[in-house]
Amino acid sequence: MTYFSVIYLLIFLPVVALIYNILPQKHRWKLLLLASFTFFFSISKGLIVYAIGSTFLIHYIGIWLENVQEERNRVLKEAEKENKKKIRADYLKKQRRILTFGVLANVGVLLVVKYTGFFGENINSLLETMKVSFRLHIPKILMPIGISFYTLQAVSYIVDVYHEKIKADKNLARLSLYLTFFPQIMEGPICRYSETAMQLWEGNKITYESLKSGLLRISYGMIKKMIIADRLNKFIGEIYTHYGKYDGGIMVVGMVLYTLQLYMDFSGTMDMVIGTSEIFGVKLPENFKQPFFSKNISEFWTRWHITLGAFFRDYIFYPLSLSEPLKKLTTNARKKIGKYYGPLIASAIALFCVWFCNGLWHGAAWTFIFFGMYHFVLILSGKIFEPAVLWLSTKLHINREKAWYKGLQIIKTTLLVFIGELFFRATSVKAGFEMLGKMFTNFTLNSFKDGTILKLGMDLPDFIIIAIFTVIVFIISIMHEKDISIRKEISKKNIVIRWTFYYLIIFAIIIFGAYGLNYEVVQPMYANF
Amino acid sequence: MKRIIKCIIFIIIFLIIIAILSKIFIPKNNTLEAGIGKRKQPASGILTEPENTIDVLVLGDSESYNSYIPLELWNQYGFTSYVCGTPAQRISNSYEYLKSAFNTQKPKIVILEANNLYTKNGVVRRIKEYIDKKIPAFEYHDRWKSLSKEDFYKSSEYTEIVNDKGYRYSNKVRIVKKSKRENFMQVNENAKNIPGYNKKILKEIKDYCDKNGAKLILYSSPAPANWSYDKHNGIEKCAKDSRIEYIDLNLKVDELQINWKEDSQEKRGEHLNYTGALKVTNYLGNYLKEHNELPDHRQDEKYNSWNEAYNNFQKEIEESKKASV
Repeated sequence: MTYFSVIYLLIFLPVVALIYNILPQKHRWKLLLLASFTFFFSISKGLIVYAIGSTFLIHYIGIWLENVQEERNRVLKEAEKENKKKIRADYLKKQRRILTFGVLANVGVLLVVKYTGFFGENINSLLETMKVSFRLHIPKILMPIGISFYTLQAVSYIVDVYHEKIKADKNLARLSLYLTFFPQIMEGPICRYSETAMQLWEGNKITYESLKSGLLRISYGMIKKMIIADRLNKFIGEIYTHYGKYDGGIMVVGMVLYTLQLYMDFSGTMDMVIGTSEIFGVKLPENFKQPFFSKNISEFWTRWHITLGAFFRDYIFYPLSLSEPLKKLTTNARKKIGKYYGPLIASAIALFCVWFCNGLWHGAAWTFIFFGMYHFVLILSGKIFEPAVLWLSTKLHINREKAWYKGLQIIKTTLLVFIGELFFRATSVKAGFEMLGKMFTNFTLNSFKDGTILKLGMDLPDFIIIAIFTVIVFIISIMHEKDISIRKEISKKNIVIRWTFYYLIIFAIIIFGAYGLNYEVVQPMYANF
Repeated sequence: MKRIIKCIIFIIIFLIIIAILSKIFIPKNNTLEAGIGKRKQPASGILTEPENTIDVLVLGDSESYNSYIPLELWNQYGFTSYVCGTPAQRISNSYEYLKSAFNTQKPKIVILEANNLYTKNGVVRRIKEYIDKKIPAFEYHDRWKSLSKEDFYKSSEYTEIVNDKGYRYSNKVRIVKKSKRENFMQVNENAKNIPGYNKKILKEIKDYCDKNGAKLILYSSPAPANWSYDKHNGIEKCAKDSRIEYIDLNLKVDELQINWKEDSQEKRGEHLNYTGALKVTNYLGNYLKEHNELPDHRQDEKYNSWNEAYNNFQKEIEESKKASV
C-alpha cells in the first residue's frame, strides 16, 4: 500500500477519514495512531519495531534531558552567584552526554541499516585491490520504510529539547504519532515537533472546506505523479541503463526528463501528503516552492526539499559554524584574509559536512556522495566568486535587477541542476561522466530523425501529453510564485465553472494517468532514500 | 442538506460521464489494433468460434496457455479445444470465462490448470476487478492514443478468429537451475491449504459444469518454480472431496520425458516452451481420449477451418525456427 495505490485512495484513506469524523474529538488521535501503525505495518511488517524503538528512545531521552534541566534550575536557584557559571557548565556537560547518546543511538541505527552493505562492499573492494584474501561478511539488513525521514525528526526532537526550545513530551502516544503520522512516513516532509505534534493531537474535525481543499491538492499531486512522472519511468530507465547504445542527443533528453520526472514524482507525492493532512486539519510544512525559478544553487536548495535543507542548516551547519574551534578559525582568518573570505573558511568546513551528509542521506552509493560534493563545490564557488561577479557587473554597467539578467541566472541554475540530477540517477559516477561526455563528443539529432527516440518506451502521444501537462504545471507554478492560490480563485467562481474544473481534473487523471496493464507500478521515488 | 444534494448530483454526473467514456474506450473488436491488449486477445477468440464447435475448454493462468496446444490435439485426435487462459488469471476470472464461453459453446470437458487455486484473491483485488468490469474506461483508458471516429458510435462486436485457439507459442529455451529442478516434488504428508474464497469459486465452477453437463478436470503443468508436493497434496485432497479428477504432471516428469535443459522458457522453470508443451499435450490428449467419449471431427466439412488453422500453426513454428537460427 502506497499513497497512489487503489487500496490507499479508495479504501484506506476514505475509511480512516469517515471513522475519524464519527469519533469524538478526544479519541481521534487514537485512530490516527492506529492508522499510522497499520500503514507502516502494511509496508514494512515487523520492521515497525525500529520506529517504535526510536519513539521509546527519544521519549525517555527527552524526559531525562528535561529532568536534568529542572535539577539545574533548582540548584541554580539556591546557588551562590559565583558558583552559577560552573554549575551551568557541569549541567551542560551532562546534557551533552545524554544528547550525544540519543543522537548516536538514532543515527547509529540508520547507519547500520542503510549503509552496512555499502561500507562492507567498499572495504572488500579495497581489500581486493590490496590483494588481501580476507573478506568481510556483509549481512543483509532490511530497511524499514521512512527510516531516513523519521530518524531526522527524532534527532530534531531531542536537540530541540536539549536547547529548551520545546518541553519534553511526557505523552508517549503523542510522540509516536508525531514520528509515524501515516501521510508523511514514506517521504516526509521532515517536520519539527513544534510544527505538527499538537495539531495531530487536537483531532480537528474534517470540514467540507478542508475536505475539498485537501482533495484538490491531492489531485494536483496525482496529475504530477501519475500523468507526468510515471509515464516517463520506462523511457528514463532505458536511457540510464543502456546509455552506451544511444547518442548525445538522447543523453540531453534523458538528463532533462529525469529531472522533470524526479520533480513531478517528489513534489506530486508532497502534494498528496500535504493534501491528505489538510483533510485532517493538519498543516504540514511545504517541501517545494517553485525550485526552477531559483537564481542560484543556494536558493534552489531553499526551494527544493526545503525541510531537509532546513534540517541540515539548523542541526549541522549552524552548530558547526558556532562551535568553538570554527569560531576561533574565523577570528584568525578574518585578521589574515579579510572580512569576506575570513569567515568563508569556517563556512566551507561546515558546508562540506552538510553536503557530505546530504549526499549520503540520499542513499548508500558513490553517485549520491558525488551529488552532495557537486553541490558543495557549486555553492562554495558561488560564494568565492561573488565579489568578482559583483565587481565585473559594476564595471560592465550591468543592472542585476533586470529581468533578462535574472532569466539568465535561472537558466544557468537549471542547467547545473540538470547535471547534478544526471549523476544522481546514473548507475555509477563513471556512467554519469560518460553520459555527460557523450553530450559533447557524440551530440547528434539522428535519434530524433530516424525515430529511435520514440522506441524507448514512449511514443509521440506520450511526449505530447507530458509537454501539455508540464506547461500546465509551469503556469500554476508562475501563479504560485505570484502568491495566487488557484484553489481560492476557483472557489470564487460559479458552480458551472467550478464543477467543470473539478471534472477536468478527475477525467484527466483517469484518461491520461500512467496506470493499469501497460505501465509498471512506480513507487514514490524518495521512499527508497 | 444542500451540500449532500450537491455531492449526490456531482457523483451522478461523474457516473454518467464515466459511462459514456466507457462506451467510447471499450475495444470495438477483439484485435490488437482495436486495443483489446495482448493479455486478453488470445483468450477472446472463444467468443468468435462458431456456435457449439468446442469440445474441450481449458482455463487457468499462464501455466495453461503454455502447456496445452489445441491444434496438436486436433491433428492427432480430431476433437476441438480452446484455451481461455490469461496471464495471472484468478480463479474468479476463470469462472467468468467459463460462463461467457457457455453462452455460445457446449464443451463436454472443462479443464482447469490448478496453479491459480493458490493465487491470492484479496478483497482489494476483487473490488478492483469489479470496478474494471463495470467501468471499462479504467482498464482501457490508454486507448485515448488510438481512438477513431468509429469508437464514438459503434458498439462492440468481436469478429477475429484466433488461429492458435488460445495457445501462446514460445520457442525460448533456458536451462532450469539444478537447485530448482532437482527434488522439487519431495514426497511428504503436508497439504498446503487452498484459500477459502478460491475453494468457494471452485465449487461454483464444479456446480456450473455439472448443471451444463460438462465434466471438470484439474491438472497441473510441470513447473518447478511454482509447484511442490505440499501443493499437490492440497489440490488432491480438495479434488477428492469435490469429486473432481486431478492429474498432476509434476509427478510424471520422467514419464513425459521432460528435459529441463530443453523444455523450459525460464531458468526457474516457471513455464514450458513449445517442446515441453507438446509432451504435456500428448499426455493429456491420450488421457482425454481414453477416459472420455470425444468426437473426431476431422472428416467433417464444418470443421475445415481447423485444418487450415493447424497448417498455419505449423508454418508459424517453421518460420519462428528459421528466425531463431
